[in-house]
Amino acid sequence: MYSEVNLQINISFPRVVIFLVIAIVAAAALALNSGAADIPVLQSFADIWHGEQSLGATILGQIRIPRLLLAMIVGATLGMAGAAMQGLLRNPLADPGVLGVTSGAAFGAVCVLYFGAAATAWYWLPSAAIIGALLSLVLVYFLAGLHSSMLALILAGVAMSAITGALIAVALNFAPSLYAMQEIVFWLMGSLANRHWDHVSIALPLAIIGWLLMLSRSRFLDALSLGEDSAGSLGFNNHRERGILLFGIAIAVGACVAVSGSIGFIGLIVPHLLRPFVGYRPGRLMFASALGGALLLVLADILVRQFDSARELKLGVVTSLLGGPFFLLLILKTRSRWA
Amino acid sequence: MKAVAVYKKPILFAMGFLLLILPSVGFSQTPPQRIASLNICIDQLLWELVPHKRLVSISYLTANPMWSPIATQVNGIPLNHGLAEEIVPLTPDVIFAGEFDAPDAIALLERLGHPVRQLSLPRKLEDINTQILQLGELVGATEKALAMAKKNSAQVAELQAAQKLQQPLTAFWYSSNGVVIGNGTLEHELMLLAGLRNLAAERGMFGFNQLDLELLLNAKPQILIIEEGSAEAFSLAREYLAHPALANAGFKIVRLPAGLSGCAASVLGDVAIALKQELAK
Repeated sequence: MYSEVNLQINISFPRVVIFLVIAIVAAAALALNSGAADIPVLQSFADIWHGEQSLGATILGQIRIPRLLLAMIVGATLGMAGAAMQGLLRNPLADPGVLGVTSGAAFGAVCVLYFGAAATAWYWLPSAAIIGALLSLVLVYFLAGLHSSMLALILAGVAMSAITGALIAVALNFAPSLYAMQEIVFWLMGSLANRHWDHVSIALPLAIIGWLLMLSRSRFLDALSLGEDSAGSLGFNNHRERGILLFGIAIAVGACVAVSGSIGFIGLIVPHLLRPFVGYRPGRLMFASALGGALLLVLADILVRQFDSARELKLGVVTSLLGGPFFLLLILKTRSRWA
Repeated sequence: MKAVAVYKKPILFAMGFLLLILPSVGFSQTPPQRIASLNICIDQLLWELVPHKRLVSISYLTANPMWSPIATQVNGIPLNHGLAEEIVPLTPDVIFAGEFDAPDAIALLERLGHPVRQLSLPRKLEDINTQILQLGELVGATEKALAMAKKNSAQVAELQAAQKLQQPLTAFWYSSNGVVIGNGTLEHELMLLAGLRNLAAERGMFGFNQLDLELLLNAKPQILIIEEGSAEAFSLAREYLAHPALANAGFKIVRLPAGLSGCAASVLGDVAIALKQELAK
């Protein structure tokens, strides 16, 4: 405990939030300026405002703005969900990507999209993805057990990821479209290329519901960091609170993965970087991680657009390249607590 | 007397003999009666060219209504999935395959002594008729093949004639996965015939290349040619064509019913006619 106290950095929580918000605004401005076409961004905003159908207005309004919003929504969700899972499982290695929750959601989405159900009504896609996320989340939760070692959790996550990854491959293999099998890369690596307002309107409302559910359990997570019994004696109904948290995570992650594919490691990196700045309070950490996640994903999405390659680099490739080594570092640091 | 005459004119006799037997040795070496095909496009051509009872095995894709216009008609013909195992017991006289079909199966079939004829994919408009005629000859249906080729040429010529007087319009041929079609393709030739300027080719693109949606809008084509999917099954690849920015961009979108990327030989005429009609609107 001493070492953690020493690590605490004396910056107030509001300052951290203000800094992150400013950084997000700056990154957003950069994101709106990056793209293959050379358009006058300010002029294009004016065109949108005046309802003019200029080229810039189309590119900005129909391509770049929805893409930016999705990067923020998905990043915020993954960041917040990572913080929530780390708090809930009291385990620094928890993350929706590492534990197979995002690929569970992706499997749900693949099932309804490629076999036609998603075209019949709008709610099929998010519902299936949410159910997929919830199932894999609950499975990992029970497989690993509440009091189990970090090793058990990671192994359960590895198994879940392997199973859901294989299920995605099977589903795509039997999908009627000839393109289906190639698209496994999107579902396992994620991308925001060519997403539009329809995708925003699927992800945003449900993500907000998920965020609110998670944030509403801030105080429970704070109490839980003292131990389950302490949380119980502070008057929390552990079962109910956990259920709400799991549900919130699944709703937000499911809605996002349904439109972006599974993007890994955001929920692992961001909470770790921000934990010292929020006084190690899991409740606050969720909010800060949402902002940090949005920032990281907007930046990653700017990065993937910088390479002049035949096919755009997948977003998940960038986050995995960042997150993989980070994950290894964490394993090294926490080795003494294993088994 | 007769015998003497033969001795006196041996050359004439020999020529007469040759004329007698040539038809049965050379050209009309009986055309293959049991025909198998591993390729959906060759299936469709064979369906037009030979009596259906001569087809002993066709590709499973041909029986799928999502990919094949003759799916409902081929009921009852054994299907193969490009596996040697499915073909060997049928003892076909000839097996047709496309140049990129199941190389392992083809190698195995050849090892087992089955005659496999691989046909190359058409890369130019003229290749299409060449392919039809070649196949017609191989199965002993030259006349039908000639008629098919003639019809194709007529439909392409019609497209060409219709657009001659117009100022060339700029266009992209936009297909799944955001791919535009450049030089060296059937689509490019058709666009030129229809009196269009292919902006992809003018960007120096050869063959099939992905083009960023922003760049596509930025190039401001007057016409965007989009092929309707043969299947409306969901794929991210087809989602590219449904991006709302395309609808707002102010160019004319020409939708063609079927794709050359599928079976060029059997749809060429239809595509040419559809392109002509759509452009005339």
